[in-house]
Amino acid sequence: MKIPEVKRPSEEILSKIHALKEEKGTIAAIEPETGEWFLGKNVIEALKNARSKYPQGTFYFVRIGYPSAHVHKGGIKRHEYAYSR
Amino acid sequence: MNMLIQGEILDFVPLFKAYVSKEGLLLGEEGNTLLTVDTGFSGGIALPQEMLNEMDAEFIGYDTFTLATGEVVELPMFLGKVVIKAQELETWFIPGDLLVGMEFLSTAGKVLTLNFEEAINSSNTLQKITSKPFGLLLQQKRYPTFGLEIMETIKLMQSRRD
Repeated sequence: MKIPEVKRPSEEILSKIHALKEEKGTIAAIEPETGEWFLGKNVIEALKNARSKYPQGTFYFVRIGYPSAHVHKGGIKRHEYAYSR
Repeated sequence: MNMLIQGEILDFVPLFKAYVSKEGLLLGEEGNTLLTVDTGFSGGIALPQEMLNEMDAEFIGYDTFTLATGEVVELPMFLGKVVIKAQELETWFIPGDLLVGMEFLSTAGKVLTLNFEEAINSSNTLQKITSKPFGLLLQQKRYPTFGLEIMETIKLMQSRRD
């Protein structure tokens, strides 16, 4: 299965989202073409909110106020599917 | 009624058994696949890509992860079903090793125990575990060596379908 690519949000969009200080820790699902974002307390909730407007959509997930949405510290092996930023 | 899925601690690694079908990932006490409970993984569940294909998991986008090295990477995410004790819930997956992460555990479960005394509670419940969401039980008996107490069926199902 070839995994599709999803357009990474612009720095401008990411800056706007991370500027939402009162939402720190919340997950944002960003629609890659429009830059519109949808919040949730976890990935599934943010996805559900995003899909209420984009039923078949794919999204880019971030955690507001953090450099990444999640941590994966169980191992130091570099993941074959991982893209460096 | 609260339920418990019980795993085992093998060479200091807490493991749940599972198997994959078209219905999703059947997680619990049977199966030929061993999933490590990884408290260093704050996400859903990691499975090899072949297993995600087998269970028809749906691609939903990309997530960002901070690795142990400090590197931040993007990983594809998939939506799929997990079946625990005949309960079905949706969660998200990444391709990779066989890991159960904290976001999934906190969604599906109430209490995660690690009891190194190897005392088994024959009633299959964790009646005396109360307040702390995660903890190490010291000098307690009659608890399973490793288990996850699952939320009540009705609440779990409803919250996923609202």
